Amino acid sequence: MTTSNEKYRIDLTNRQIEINEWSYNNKMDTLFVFQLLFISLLFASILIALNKQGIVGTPFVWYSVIVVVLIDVIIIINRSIYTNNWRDQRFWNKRQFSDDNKLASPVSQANYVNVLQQAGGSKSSCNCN
Amino acid sequence: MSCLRVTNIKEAEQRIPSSVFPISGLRRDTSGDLTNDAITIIIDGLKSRGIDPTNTETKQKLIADLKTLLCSVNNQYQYLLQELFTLLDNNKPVSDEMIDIIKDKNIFMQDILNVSRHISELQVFDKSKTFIEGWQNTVTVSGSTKNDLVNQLIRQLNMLEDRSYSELQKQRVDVTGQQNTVASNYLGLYGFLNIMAVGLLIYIAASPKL
Repeated sequence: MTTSNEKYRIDLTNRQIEINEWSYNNKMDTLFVFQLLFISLLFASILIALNKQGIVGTPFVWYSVIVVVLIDVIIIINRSIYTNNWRDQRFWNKRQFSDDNKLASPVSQANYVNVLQQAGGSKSSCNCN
Repeated sequence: MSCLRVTNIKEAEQRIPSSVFPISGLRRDTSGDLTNDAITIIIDGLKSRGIDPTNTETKQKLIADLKTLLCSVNNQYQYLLQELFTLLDNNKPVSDEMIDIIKDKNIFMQDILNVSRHISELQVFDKSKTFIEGWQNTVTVSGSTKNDLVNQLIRQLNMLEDRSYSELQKQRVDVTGQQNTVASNYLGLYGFLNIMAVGLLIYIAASPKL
């Protein structure tokens, strides 16, 4: 067992580790987006260069760029919404559910007994407690 | 043989079989390192099974196997440390058995590092340049050498023996801090690359004909 002083230090260190890990994962997520943008920009550059040389047509370039931009936007918005709304603020890999511990059982214990009785059982045969 | 991914305590505690370390109870010096004759026993054991570490190809294969083994044991070690910290966080008692297992993993990692260093320093028959691992006796990106790794393991072993967990946790803060620094560096690099890519795109789009 640890003393309260040591416990305080351990708690403080653990919190710092949590903060560092969350921050690290957040940076890695941003890095993923940066890599995505980098690849998309290079892809668009190559297509435009090919278009300038007359190898591919302008409509193809536009459609391709629009598709890539759409994919990028969807990924970025999806990740942003997930991080802002669902991601746990302490543990990066943990998801929060808005109804956690709030959603009651569809059948309460009293109703459960009634349902059993209506079905032909009795309270004594129900190991409710 | 691939690096073991540890997902539960059973996997973390199991002894990973190794053809290089078939026996236990090897002699150690006062600092806990394997003695020279213990390393010789290991090398002789390899030779008796037809594995000649002085052969270039065999040597490279051995080093690769040892690196994989080190990766697997390190994963087990990290998992066990995490379990230890979880127990401490919940103010639960830590059993001596658990500490012994973690210490065993720590010592095993030191042994792997010592033996791999010995094998990599062995002269090959063709008298060509000896094979040297990237992380051995050379300064890596983070400025650490293999000796630093061994020293770090020894420090952690001492902390485990003294049960000074707060020191171990301070090291975890340092490690996560370094991870952040690495991630920040990558962010800076990709930020710069993105600016370059935007510039390239504008240049190509603005040029009349390539």
